[in-house]
Amino acid sequence: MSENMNDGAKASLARLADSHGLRRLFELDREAFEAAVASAAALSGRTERPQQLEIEMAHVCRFPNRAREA
Amino acid sequence: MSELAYLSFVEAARRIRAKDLSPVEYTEALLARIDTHNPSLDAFLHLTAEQALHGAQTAADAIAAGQALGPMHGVPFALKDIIDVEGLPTTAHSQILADNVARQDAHVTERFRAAGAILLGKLSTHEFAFGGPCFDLPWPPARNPWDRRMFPGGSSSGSGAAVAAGLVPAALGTDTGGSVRNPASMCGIVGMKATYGRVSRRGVIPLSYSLDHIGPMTRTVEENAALLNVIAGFDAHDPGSANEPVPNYLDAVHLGQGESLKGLRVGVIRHFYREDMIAHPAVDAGIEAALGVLAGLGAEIEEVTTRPLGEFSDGNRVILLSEGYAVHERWMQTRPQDYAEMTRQKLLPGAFLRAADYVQGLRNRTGFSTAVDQLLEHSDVLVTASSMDPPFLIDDAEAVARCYPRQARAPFNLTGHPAVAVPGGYYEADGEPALPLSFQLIGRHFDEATLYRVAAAYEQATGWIERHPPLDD
Repeated sequence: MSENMNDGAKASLARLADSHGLRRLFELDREAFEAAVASAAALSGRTERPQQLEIEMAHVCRFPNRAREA
Repeated sequence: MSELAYLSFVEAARRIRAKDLSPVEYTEALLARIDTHNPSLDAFLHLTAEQALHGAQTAADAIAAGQALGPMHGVPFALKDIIDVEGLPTTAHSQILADNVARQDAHVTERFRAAGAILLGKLSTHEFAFGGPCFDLPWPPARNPWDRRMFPGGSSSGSGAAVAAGLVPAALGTDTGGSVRNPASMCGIVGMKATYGRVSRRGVIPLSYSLDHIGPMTRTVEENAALLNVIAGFDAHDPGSANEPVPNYLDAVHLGQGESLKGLRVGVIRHFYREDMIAHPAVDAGIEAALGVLAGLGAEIEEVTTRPLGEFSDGNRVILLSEGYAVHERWMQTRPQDYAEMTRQKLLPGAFLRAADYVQGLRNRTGFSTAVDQLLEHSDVLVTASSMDPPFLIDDAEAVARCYPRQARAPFNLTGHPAVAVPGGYYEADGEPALPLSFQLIGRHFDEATLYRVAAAYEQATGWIERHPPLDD
Protein backbone atom coordinates (compact mmCIF):
# COMPACT_ATOMS: atom_id res chain seq x y z
CA MET A 1 0.00 0.00 0.00
CA SER A 2 1.29 3.49 -0.80
CA GLU A 3 3.56 4.83 1.93
CA ASN A 4 1.93 8.27 1.80
CA MET A 5 -1.59 6.88 2.25
CA ASN A 6 -3.12 8.10 5.50
CA ASP A 7 -4.87 5.89 8.02
CA GLY A 8 -8.29 7.03 6.86
CA ALA A 9 -7.60 6.01 3.30
CA LYS A 10 -6.23 2.67 4.43
CA ALA A 11 -9.34 2.04 6.48
CA SER A 12 -11.47 3.03 3.52
CA LEU A 13 -9.74 0.44 1.34
CA ALA A 14 -10.22 -2.19 4.02
CA ARG A 15 -13.94 -1.41 4.17
CA LEU A 16 -14.12 -1.66 0.39
CA ALA A 17 -12.47 -5.07 0.58
CA ASP A 18 -14.98 -6.19 3.18
CA SER A 19 -17.92 -4.95 1.14
CA HIS A 20 -16.70 -7.02 -1.82
CA GLY A 21 -15.95 -10.11 0.23
CA LEU A 22 -12.27 -9.66 -0.61
CA ARG A 23 -10.73 -9.25 2.84
CA ARG A 24 -8.55 -12.33 2.39
CA LEU A 25 -7.20 -11.06 -0.91
CA PHE A 26 -6.71 -7.57 0.56
CA GLU A 27 -4.59 -8.98 3.37
CA LEU A 28 -2.62 -11.04 0.85
CA ASP A 29 -1.66 -8.19 -1.46
CA ARG A 30 -2.66 -4.70 -0.33
CA GLU A 31 -0.65 -2.94 -3.01
CA ALA A 32 -2.35 -4.91 -5.76
CA PHE A 33 -5.71 -4.13 -4.21
CA GLU A 34 -5.00 -0.40 -4.18
CA ALA A 35 -3.66 -0.55 -7.75
CA ALA A 36 -6.75 -2.43 -8.94
CA VAL A 37 -9.09 0.19 -7.46
CA ALA A 38 -7.12 2.94 -9.21
CA SER A 39 -6.96 1.01 -12.47
CA ALA A 40 -10.71 0.42 -12.50
CA ALA A 41 -11.40 4.08 -11.75
CA ALA A 42 -9.12 5.16 -14.59
CA LEU A 43 -10.74 2.75 -17.02
CA SER A 44 -14.20 3.84 -15.93
CA GLY A 45 -13.18 7.45 -16.47
CA ARG A 46 -12.07 6.68 -20.03
CA THR A 47 -15.26 4.80 -20.88
CA GLU A 48 -17.46 6.82 -23.17
CA ARG A 49 -21.01 7.55 -22.00
CA PRO A 50 -23.19 7.69 -25.14
CA GLN A 51 -25.86 10.35 -24.85
CA GLN A 52 -28.14 9.04 -27.58
CA LEU A 53 -30.70 6.87 -25.86
CA GLU A 54 -31.32 4.74 -28.94
CA ILE A 55 -27.86 3.19 -28.76
CA GLU A 56 -28.48 -0.20 -27.18
CA MET A 57 -26.06 -2.77 -25.90
CA ALA A 58 -24.42 -4.82 -28.61
CA HIS A 59 -25.95 -8.18 -27.79
CA VAL A 60 -23.43 -10.68 -29.06
CA CYS A 61 -26.07 -12.95 -30.49
CA ARG A 62 -26.98 -10.23 -32.97
CA PHE A 63 -23.81 -10.77 -34.98
CA PRO A 64 -25.39 -13.38 -37.23
CA ASN A 65 -28.57 -11.38 -37.59
CA ARG A 66 -26.66 -8.35 -38.77
CA ALA A 67 -24.64 -10.44 -41.19
CA ARG A 68 -27.86 -11.73 -42.74
CA GLU A 69 -29.26 -8.22 -43.06
CA ALA A 70 -26.06 -7.09 -44.80
CA MET B 1 12.06 -37.49 -37.76
CA SER B 2 11.84 -33.89 -39.01
CA GLU B 3 10.05 -35.05 -42.13
CA LEU B 4 7.07 -36.34 -40.12
CA ALA B 5 7.37 -33.58 -37.52
CA TYR B 6 6.82 -30.85 -40.07
CA LEU B 7 4.57 -32.78 -42.44
CA SER B 8 1.38 -30.90 -43.24
CA PHE B 9 -1.51 -32.78 -41.69
CA VAL B 10 -3.50 -32.30 -44.88
CA GLU B 11 -0.76 -34.21 -46.69
CA ALA B 12 -0.49 -36.70 -43.82
CA ALA B 13 -4.24 -37.41 -44.01
CA ARG B 14 -3.90 -37.96 -47.77
CA ARG B 15 -1.02 -40.41 -47.24
CA ILE B 16 -2.93 -42.20 -44.49
CA ARG B 17 -5.93 -42.66 -46.78
CA ALA B 18 -3.61 -43.93 -49.51
CA LYS B 19 -2.03 -46.34 -46.99
CA ASP B 20 1.35 -44.66 -47.54
CA LEU B 21 1.56 -43.59 -43.90
CA SER B 22 0.44 -45.55 -40.86
CA PRO B 23 -1.39 -43.61 -38.13
CA VAL B 24 0.60 -45.67 -35.64
CA GLU B 25 3.94 -44.69 -37.19
CA TYR B 26 2.87 -41.02 -37.32
CA THR B 27 1.65 -40.98 -33.72
CA GLU B 28 4.72 -42.80 -32.42
CA ALA B 29 7.02 -40.36 -34.22
CA LEU B 30 5.32 -37.33 -32.67
CA LEU B 31 5.21 -38.90 -29.20
CA ALA B 32 8.95 -39.56 -29.48
CA ARG B 33 9.53 -35.96 -30.49
CA ILE B 34 7.44 -34.75 -27.55
CA ASP B 35 9.52 -36.97 -25.29
CA THR B 36 12.69 -35.34 -26.63
CA HIS B 37 11.66 -31.69 -26.70
CA ASN B 38 8.82 -31.14 -24.26
CA PRO B 39 11.11 -31.16 -21.20
CA SER B 40 12.76 -27.98 -22.51
CA LEU B 41 9.61 -26.39 -23.97
CA ASP B 42 6.91 -27.29 -21.41
CA ALA B 43 4.26 -27.09 -24.11
CA PHE B 44 2.28 -30.14 -22.93
CA LEU B 45 0.73 -30.28 -19.47
CA HIS B 46 -0.81 -33.73 -19.85
CA LEU B 47 0.13 -36.39 -22.37
CA THR B 48 -2.36 -39.05 -23.44
CA ALA B 49 0.21 -41.33 -25.07
CA GLU B 50 -1.43 -44.64 -24.25
CA GLN B 51 -4.86 -43.55 -25.48
CA ALA B 52 -3.27 -41.98 -28.55
CA LEU B 53 -1.49 -45.17 -29.53
CA HIS B 54 -4.68 -47.13 -28.98
CA GLY B 55 -6.55 -44.60 -31.13
CA ALA B 56 -3.89 -44.81 -33.83
CA GLN B 57 -4.21 -48.58 -33.97
CA THR B 58 -7.99 -48.30 -34.16
CA ALA B 59 -7.56 -45.78 -37.00
CA ALA B 60 -5.25 -48.19 -38.81
CA ASP B 61 -7.76 -51.01 -38.36
CA ALA B 62 -10.52 -48.82 -39.81
CA ILE B 63 -8.44 -48.15 -42.90
CA ALA B 64 -7.71 -51.85 -43.30
CA ALA B 65 -11.43 -52.60 -42.97
CA GLY B 66 -12.32 -50.04 -45.65
CA GLN B 67 -14.46 -47.95 -43.31
CA ALA B 68 -15.49 -44.35 -44.09
CA LEU B 69 -12.80 -41.95 -42.94
CA GLY B 70 -13.08 -38.41 -41.57
CA PRO B 71 -10.96 -35.53 -42.88
CA MET B 72 -8.42 -35.88 -40.04
CA HIS B 73 -8.42 -39.66 -39.85
CA GLY B 74 -5.30 -40.75 -37.98
CA VAL B 75 -3.99 -37.19 -37.55
CA PRO B 76 -2.74 -36.20 -34.09
CA PHE B 77 -3.93 -32.98 -32.44
CA ALA B 78 -3.76 -31.29 -29.03
CA LEU B 79 -5.95 -28.93 -27.02
CA LYS B 80 -5.31 -25.95 -24.81
CA ASP B 81 -6.01 -27.07 -21.28
CA ILE B 82 -9.18 -25.07 -20.86
CA ILE B 83 -11.01 -27.29 -23.37
CA ASP B 84 -12.81 -30.33 -21.99
CA VAL B 85 -12.09 -33.93 -22.91
CA GLU B 86 -14.27 -36.44 -21.08
CA GLY B 87 -12.34 -38.18 -18.32
CA LEU B 88 -9.25 -35.98 -18.57
CA PRO B 89 -8.17 -33.09 -16.35
CA THR B 90 -9.04 -29.56 -17.41
CA THR B 91 -6.81 -27.52 -15.12
CA ALA B 92 -6.69 -24.15 -16.89
CA HIS B 93 -3.04 -24.34 -15.74
CA SER B 94 -4.25 -23.37 -12.27
CA GLN B 95 -4.07 -24.74 -8.76
CA ILE B 96 -7.73 -23.76 -8.48
CA LEU B 97 -8.72 -26.54 -10.89
CA ALA B 98 -5.84 -28.94 -10.24
CA ASP B 99 -8.30 -31.75 -9.45
CA ASN B 100 -10.94 -30.91 -12.06
CA VAL B 101 -11.83 -33.77 -14.40
CA ALA B 102 -14.11 -33.09 -17.37
CA ARG B 103 -17.39 -35.01 -17.40
CA GLN B 104 -18.00 -34.67 -21.13
CA ASP B 105 -16.33 -33.52 -24.30
CA ALA B 106 -16.39 -29.93 -25.44
CA HIS B 107 -18.16 -29.36 -28.74
CA VAL B 108 -14.85 -28.93 -30.56
CA THR B 109 -13.53 -32.15 -29.01
CA GLU B 110 -16.57 -33.96 -30.39
CA ARG B 111 -15.80 -32.46 -33.81
CA PHE B 112 -12.21 -33.74 -33.70
CA ARG B 113 -13.38 -37.22 -32.76
CA ALA B 114 -15.91 -37.23 -35.58
CA ALA B 115 -13.14 -36.19 -37.99
CA GLY B 116 -11.04 -39.16 -36.90
CA ALA B 117 -8.27 -37.16 -35.20
CA ILE B 118 -6.14 -38.53 -32.35
CA LEU B 119 -5.60 -36.54 -29.15
CA LEU B 120 -1.96 -36.38 -27.98
CA GLY B 121 -2.64 -34.32 -24.87
CA LYS B 122 -3.52 -31.03 -23.22
CA LEU B 123 -1.41 -27.92 -23.68
CA SER B 124 -0.01 -25.27 -21.41
CA THR B 125 -1.88 -21.98 -21.12
CA HIS B 126 -1.61 -18.82 -19.15
CA GLU B 127 -3.65 -19.36 -16.01
CA PHE B 128 -7.35 -19.31 -16.94
CA ALA B 129 -6.28 -17.97 -20.35
CA PHE B 130 -5.45 -14.64 -18.73
CA GLY B 131 -2.45 -14.32 -16.43
CA GLY B 132 1.03 -15.24 -17.47
CA PRO B 133 3.68 -16.22 -18.06
CA CYS B 134 3.80 -17.16 -14.38
CA PHE B 135 6.42 -19.02 -12.39
CA ASP B 136 4.31 -19.49 -9.25
CA LEU B 137 1.91 -22.12 -10.61
CA PRO B 138 1.96 -25.93 -10.30
CA TRP B 139 3.40 -26.18 -13.84
CA PRO B 140 6.01 -24.03 -15.60
CA PRO B 141 5.11 -21.77 -18.54
CA ALA B 142 5.74 -22.89 -22.11
CA ARG B 143 8.85 -21.66 -23.92
CA ASN B 144 9.40 -20.37 -27.43
CA PRO B 145 10.96 -23.08 -29.66
CA TRP B 146 12.78 -20.47 -31.75
CA ASP B 147 14.75 -19.55 -28.65
CA ARG B 148 13.67 -21.10 -25.39
CA ARG B 149 14.78 -18.03 -23.44
CA MET B 150 11.94 -16.20 -25.15
CA PHE B 151 8.25 -15.67 -24.46
CA PRO B 152 6.09 -17.82 -26.77
CA GLY B 153 3.11 -15.47 -26.48
CA GLY B 154 -0.11 -16.35 -24.79
CA SER B 155 -2.43 -17.23 -23.47
CA SER B 156 -2.44 -20.24 -25.82
CA SER B 157 1.29 -20.55 -25.24
CA GLY B 158 1.58 -24.34 -25.29
CA SER B 159 -0.46 -24.50 -28.49
CA GLY B 160 1.88 -22.05 -30.22
CA ALA B 161 5.05 -23.72 -28.96
CA ALA B 162 3.93 -27.29 -29.71
CA VAL B 163 2.82 -26.57 -33.26
CA ALA B 164 5.88 -24.49 -34.12
CA ALA B 165 8.20 -27.15 -32.68
CA GLY B 166 6.65 -29.92 -34.75
CA LEU B 167 5.31 -31.74 -31.69
CA VAL B 168 1.81 -31.76 -33.15
CA PRO B 169 0.47 -30.45 -36.47
CA ALA B 170 -2.82 -29.03 -35.20
CA ALA B 171 -3.88 -27.41 -31.96
CA LEU B 172 -6.66 -25.23 -30.66
CA GLY B 173 -6.25 -22.07 -28.68
CA THR B 174 -8.72 -19.55 -27.35
CA ASP B 175 -8.75 -15.82 -27.98
CA THR B 176 -10.41 -13.17 -25.80
CA GLY B 177 -8.01 -10.29 -26.39
CA GLY B 178 -5.64 -11.96 -28.84
CA SER B 179 -4.66 -15.24 -27.20
CA VAL B 180 -4.60 -17.31 -30.39
CA ARG B 181 -2.94 -14.63 -32.51
CA ASN B 182 -0.31 -13.64 -29.94
CA PRO B 183 1.36 -17.06 -29.63
CA ALA B 184 0.88 -17.58 -33.37
CA SER B 185 2.81 -14.34 -33.92
CA MET B 186 5.54 -15.12 -31.40
CA CYS B 187 6.02 -18.71 -32.60
CA GLY B 188 5.76 -18.09 -36.34
CA ILE B 189 2.60 -20.04 -37.11
CA VAL B 190 -0.90 -19.29 -38.41
CA GLY B 191 -3.57 -18.45 -35.83
CA MET B 192 -7.16 -17.72 -36.80
CA LYS B 193 -9.74 -16.04 -34.60
CA ALA B 194 -12.85 -16.64 -36.66
CA THR B 195 -15.98 -14.50 -36.43
CA TYR B 196 -17.63 -14.46 -33.02
CA GLY B 197 -20.11 -17.33 -33.02
CA ARG B 198 -18.40 -19.30 -35.79
CA VAL B 199 -16.99 -21.94 -33.40
CA SER B 200 -18.94 -23.22 -30.40
CA ARG B 201 -17.40 -22.55 -26.98
CA ARG B 202 -19.43 -25.23 -25.19
CA GLY B 203 -17.19 -27.15 -22.82
CA VAL B 204 -14.50 -24.47 -22.69
CA ILE B 205 -13.73 -22.60 -19.47
CA PRO B 206 -14.85 -19.02 -20.08
CA LEU B 207 -12.81 -15.90 -19.55
CA SER B 208 -15.24 -13.36 -21.01
CA TYR B 209 -18.46 -14.72 -22.46
CA SER B 210 -18.98 -12.11 -25.14
CA LEU B 211 -15.32 -11.87 -26.22
CA ASP B 212 -14.21 -15.53 -26.13
CA HIS B 213 -13.37 -17.29 -29.37
CA ILE B 214 -11.78 -20.66 -30.14
CA GLY B 215 -9.25 -20.73 -32.93
CA PRO B 216 -7.14 -23.15 -34.98
CA MET B 217 -3.34 -22.94 -34.75
CA THR B 218 -1.25 -24.59 -37.45
CA ARG B 219 2.00 -24.16 -39.35
CA THR B 220 0.36 -23.49 -42.72
CA VAL B 221 -2.67 -21.66 -44.03
CA GLU B 222 -4.02 -24.77 -45.73
CA GLU B 223 -3.94 -26.73 -42.48
CA ASN B 224 -5.60 -23.84 -40.66
CA ALA B 225 -8.44 -23.78 -43.17
CA ALA B 226 -8.81 -27.55 -42.96
CA LEU B 227 -8.98 -27.32 -39.19
CA LEU B 228 -11.59 -24.56 -39.25
CA ASN B 229 -13.61 -26.77 -41.60
CA VAL B 230 -13.65 -29.36 -38.81
CA ILE B 231 -14.60 -27.13 -35.89
CA ALA B 232 -16.83 -24.41 -37.43
CA GLY B 233 -20.60 -24.59 -37.36
CA PHE B 234 -23.74 -24.04 -35.35
CA ASP B 235 -24.20 -25.52 -31.90
CA ALA B 236 -27.60 -24.98 -30.31
CA HIS B 237 -26.05 -25.48 -26.89
CA ASP B 238 -23.80 -22.39 -27.14
CA PRO B 239 -26.00 -19.27 -26.84
CA GLY B 240 -23.40 -17.29 -28.79
CA SER B 241 -23.19 -19.77 -31.66
CA ALA B 242 -24.10 -18.42 -35.09
CA ASN B 243 -26.43 -20.35 -37.37
CA GLU B 244 -24.61 -19.33 -40.52
CA PRO B 245 -23.56 -21.48 -43.49
CA VAL B 246 -19.94 -22.68 -43.35
CA PRO B 247 -18.12 -22.74 -46.69
CA ASN B 248 -15.32 -25.15 -47.52
CA TYR B 249 -12.35 -23.00 -46.51
CA LEU B 250 -9.95 -25.14 -48.52
CA ASP B 251 -11.57 -23.78 -51.68
CA ALA B 252 -10.45 -20.30 -50.64
CA VAL B 253 -6.91 -21.53 -49.98
CA HIS B 254 -6.69 -23.15 -53.38
CA LEU B 255 -8.06 -19.98 -54.96
CA GLY B 256 -5.31 -17.98 -53.27
CA GLN B 257 -2.67 -20.46 -54.38
CA GLY B 258 -3.94 -20.60 -57.92
CA GLU B 259 -4.94 -17.08 -58.89
CA SER B 260 -3.60 -13.57 -58.45
CA LEU B 261 -5.08 -11.07 -56.01
CA LYS B 262 -5.83 -8.67 -58.85
CA GLY B 263 -8.54 -6.24 -57.86
CA LEU B 264 -8.54 -7.22 -54.19
CA ARG B 265 -8.69 -4.12 -52.01
CA VAL B 266 -6.44 -4.12 -48.96
CA GLY B 267 -6.92 -1.39 -46.35
CA VAL B 268 -3.92 -0.76 -44.10
CA ILE B 269 -4.57 0.59 -40.59
CA ARG B 270 -1.11 2.11 -40.17
CA HIS B 271 -2.03 4.52 -37.40
CA PHE B 272 -2.51 1.57 -35.03
CA TYR B 273 1.25 0.86 -35.17
CA ARG B 274 2.75 4.18 -36.26
CA GLU B 275 0.80 6.81 -34.31
CA ASP B 276 -1.39 5.23 -31.63
CA MET B 277 1.57 3.03 -30.77
CA ILE B 278 5.01 2.88 -32.30
CA ALA B 279 5.87 -0.65 -33.34
CA HIS B 280 9.39 -2.04 -33.23
CA PRO B 281 11.11 -1.10 -36.54
CA ALA B 282 11.39 -4.77 -37.52
CA VAL B 283 7.63 -5.25 -37.10
CA ASP B 284 6.88 -2.12 -39.11
CA ALA B 285 9.32 -3.15 -41.84
CA GLY B 286 7.84 -6.65 -41.91
CA ILE B 287 4.35 -5.30 -42.50
CA GLU B 288 5.57 -3.00 -45.27
CA ALA B 289 7.35 -5.92 -46.90
CA ALA B 290 4.17 -8.01 -46.68
CA LEU B 291 2.18 -5.20 -48.29
CA GLY B 292 4.75 -5.13 -51.06
CA VAL B 293 4.21 -8.85 -51.63
CA LEU B 294 0.43 -8.41 -51.70
CA ALA B 295 0.77 -5.53 -54.15
CA GLY B 296 3.02 -7.70 -56.29
CA LEU B 297 0.27 -10.31 -56.33
CA GLY B 298 -2.14 -7.73 -57.72
CA ALA B 299 -3.83 -6.34 -54.61
CA GLU B 300 -4.67 -2.65 -54.39
CA ILE B 301 -3.21 -1.21 -51.18
CA GLU B 302 -4.83 1.80 -49.55
CA GLU B 303 -4.24 3.38 -46.16
CA VAL B 304 -7.39 3.64 -44.03
CA THR B 305 -8.10 5.24 -40.68
CA THR B 306 -10.46 4.47 -37.85
CA ARG B 307 -10.77 5.27 -34.16
CA PRO B 308 -7.55 5.24 -32.10
CA LEU B 309 -6.26 1.86 -31.01
CA GLY B 310 -6.43 2.86 -27.34
CA GLU B 311 -10.20 3.41 -27.57
CA PHE B 312 -10.70 -0.07 -28.97
CA SER B 313 -8.42 -1.54 -26.30
CA ASP B 314 -10.26 0.18 -23.47
CA GLY B 315 -13.56 -0.93 -24.97
CA ASN B 316 -12.37 -4.53 -24.94
CA ARG B 317 -10.91 -4.22 -21.45
CA VAL B 318 -13.98 -2.91 -19.67
CA ILE B 319 -16.03 -5.84 -20.98
CA LEU B 320 -13.31 -8.45 -20.43
CA LEU B 321 -12.64 -7.38 -16.84
CA SER B 322 -16.34 -7.19 -15.95
CA GLU B 323 -17.21 -10.58 -17.39
CA GLY B 324 -13.96 -12.15 -16.22
CA TYR B 325 -14.48 -11.05 -12.65
CA ALA B 326 -18.02 -12.44 -12.73
CA VAL B 327 -16.48 -15.81 -13.60
CA HIS B 328 -13.82 -15.63 -10.89
CA GLU B 329 -15.51 -13.70 -8.07
CA ARG B 330 -16.14 -16.70 -5.83
CA TRP B 331 -12.57 -18.00 -6.09
CA MET B 332 -11.09 -14.52 -5.70
CA GLN B 333 -13.03 -14.24 -2.44
CA THR B 334 -12.29 -17.69 -1.07
CA ARG B 335 -9.04 -18.89 -2.66
CA PRO B 336 -7.03 -15.84 -3.70
CA GLN B 337 -3.79 -17.50 -2.61
CA ASP B 338 -4.31 -20.27 -5.17
CA TYR B 339 -3.97 -17.92 -8.13
CA ALA B 340 -0.64 -16.81 -9.52
CA GLU B 341 0.11 -13.31 -8.33
CA MET B 342 -0.08 -11.93 -11.88
CA THR B 343 -3.46 -13.52 -12.62
CA ARG B 344 -4.90 -12.17 -9.39
CA GLN B 345 -3.62 -8.70 -10.15
CA LYS B 346 -5.00 -8.76 -13.68
CA LEU B 347 -8.46 -9.98 -12.66
CA LEU B 348 -8.94 -7.73 -9.65
CA PRO B 349 -9.83 -4.40 -11.35
CA GLY B 350 -12.99 -6.13 -12.57
CA ALA B 351 -14.23 -6.11 -8.98
CA PHE B 352 -14.37 -2.32 -8.98
CA LEU B 353 -15.95 -1.60 -12.33
CA ARG B 354 -19.61 -0.70 -11.94
CA ALA B 355 -22.64 -2.12 -13.68
CA ALA B 356 -22.96 1.17 -15.56
CA ASP B 357 -19.38 0.83 -16.85
CA TYR B 358 -20.14 -2.61 -18.23
CA VAL B 359 -23.40 -1.52 -19.85
CA GLN B 360 -21.74 1.52 -21.40
CA GLY B 361 -18.99 -0.76 -22.65
CA LEU B 362 -21.55 -2.94 -24.39
CA ARG B 363 -23.30 0.13 -25.82
CA ASN B 364 -20.00 1.50 -27.13
CA ARG B 365 -19.28 -1.83 -28.73
CA THR B 366 -21.92 -1.11 -31.37
CA GLY B 367 -19.97 1.95 -32.49
CA PHE B 368 -16.64 0.12 -32.63
CA SER B 369 -18.12 -2.68 -34.68
CA THR B 370 -19.73 -0.21 -37.07
CA ALA B 371 -16.42 1.61 -37.45
CA VAL B 372 -14.70 -1.57 -38.65
CA ASP B 373 -17.69 -2.45 -40.86
CA GLN B 374 -17.31 0.95 -42.53
CA LEU B 375 -13.67 0.24 -43.36
CA LEU B 376 -14.71 -3.07 -44.86
CA GLU B 377 -17.26 -1.41 -47.13
CA HIS B 378 -14.33 -0.10 -49.17
CA SER B 379 -11.73 -2.78 -48.44
CA ASP B 380 -12.00 -6.54 -48.87
CA VAL B 381 -9.51 -7.14 -46.08
CA LEU B 382 -7.63 -5.00 -43.58
CA VAL B 383 -3.97 -5.31 -42.61
CA THR B 384 -2.43 -4.14 -39.38
CA ALA B 385 0.11 -5.24 -36.78
CA SER B 386 -0.46 -8.19 -34.50
CA SER B 387 2.22 -7.76 -31.81
CA MET B 388 4.10 -4.46 -31.74
CA ASP B 389 7.33 -6.22 -30.81
CA PRO B 390 9.27 -9.38 -31.69
CA PRO B 391 9.54 -12.05 -28.96
CA PHE B 392 11.36 -11.01 -25.80
CA LEU B 393 12.87 -12.73 -22.76
CA ILE B 394 10.21 -14.69 -20.87
CA ASP B 395 11.66 -13.80 -17.48
CA ASP B 396 11.81 -10.06 -18.22
CA ALA B 397 8.86 -8.96 -16.09
CA GLU B 398 8.92 -5.40 -17.44
CA ALA B 399 8.82 -6.61 -21.04
CA VAL B 400 5.96 -8.96 -20.21
CA ALA B 401 3.96 -6.15 -18.60
CA ARG B 402 4.72 -3.88 -21.54
CA CYS B 403 3.64 -6.40 -24.17
CA TYR B 404 0.02 -6.78 -23.09
CA PRO B 405 -1.18 -3.40 -24.30
CA ARG B 406 1.30 -3.32 -27.20
CA GLN B 407 -0.85 -5.21 -29.67
CA ALA B 408 -3.65 -4.56 -32.17
CA ARG B 409 -5.63 -7.77 -31.70
CA ALA B 410 -8.16 -6.86 -29.03
CA PRO B 411 -10.17 -4.54 -31.34
CA PHE B 412 -11.42 -7.55 -33.27
CA ASN B 413 -12.52 -9.46 -30.19
CA LEU B 414 -14.56 -6.39 -29.35
CA THR B 415 -16.12 -6.20 -32.81
CA GLY B 416 -16.27 -9.93 -33.56
CA HIS B 417 -14.60 -9.61 -36.97
CA PRO B 418 -12.46 -12.55 -38.12
CA ALA B 419 -8.72 -11.94 -37.85
CA VAL B 420 -5.77 -14.16 -38.63
CA ALA B 421 -2.13 -13.81 -37.61
CA VAL B 422 0.13 -14.71 -40.51
CA PRO B 423 3.89 -15.42 -40.28
CA GLY B 424 5.67 -12.48 -41.90
CA GLY B 425 9.38 -13.09 -41.87
CA TYR B 426 12.06 -13.05 -39.19
CA TYR B 427 13.85 -10.61 -36.95
CA GLU B 428 17.55 -11.36 -36.84
CA ALA B 429 19.54 -9.37 -34.33
CA ASP B 430 23.34 -9.74 -34.46
CA GLY B 431 24.44 -13.12 -33.21
CA GLU B 432 21.01 -14.07 -31.90
CA PRO B 433 18.65 -16.78 -33.18
CA ALA B 434 16.07 -15.65 -35.73
CA LEU B 435 12.69 -14.78 -34.22
CA PRO B 436 9.35 -14.76 -36.03
CA LEU B 437 7.51 -11.67 -37.18
CA SER B 438 3.83 -11.55 -38.00
CA PHE B 439 0.98 -9.37 -39.19
CA GLN B 440 -2.81 -9.52 -39.09
CA LEU B 441 -5.45 -9.79 -41.77
CA ILE B 442 -8.99 -8.80 -40.78
CA GLY B 443 -12.16 -9.51 -42.74
CA ARG B 444 -15.90 -9.01 -42.80
CA HIS B 445 -18.09 -10.93 -40.40
CA PHE B 446 -18.28 -14.59 -41.47
CA ASP B 447 -15.83 -14.04 -44.34
CA GLU B 448 -12.90 -16.06 -43.06
CA ALA B 449 -12.62 -17.43 -46.61
CA THR B 450 -11.20 -14.20 -48.02
CA LEU B 451 -8.62 -14.11 -45.22
CA TYR B 452 -7.52 -17.62 -46.11
CA ARG B 453 -7.36 -16.71 -49.79
CA VAL B 454 -5.07 -13.75 -49.13
CA ALA B 455 -2.97 -15.54 -46.51
CA ALA B 456 -2.47 -18.54 -48.81
CA ALA B 457 -1.37 -16.33 -51.69
CA TYR B 458 1.08 -14.50 -49.43
CA GLU B 459 2.41 -17.71 -47.88
CA GLN B 460 3.02 -19.24 -51.28
CA ALA B 461 4.82 -16.14 -52.49
CA THR B 462 7.16 -15.91 -49.52
CA GLY B 463 7.99 -19.47 -48.54
CA TRP B 464 8.37 -18.62 -44.85
CA ILE B 465 6.86 -21.98 -43.95
CA GLU B 466 10.00 -23.79 -45.07
CA ARG B 467 11.87 -22.47 -42.05
CA HIS B 468 11.61 -24.21 -38.66
CA PRO B 469 12.87 -23.60 -35.12
CA PRO B 470 16.48 -24.72 -34.59
CA LEU B 471 15.55 -27.73 -32.43
CA ASP B 472 17.08 -30.34 -34.70
CA ASP B 473 20.32 -28.52 -35.47
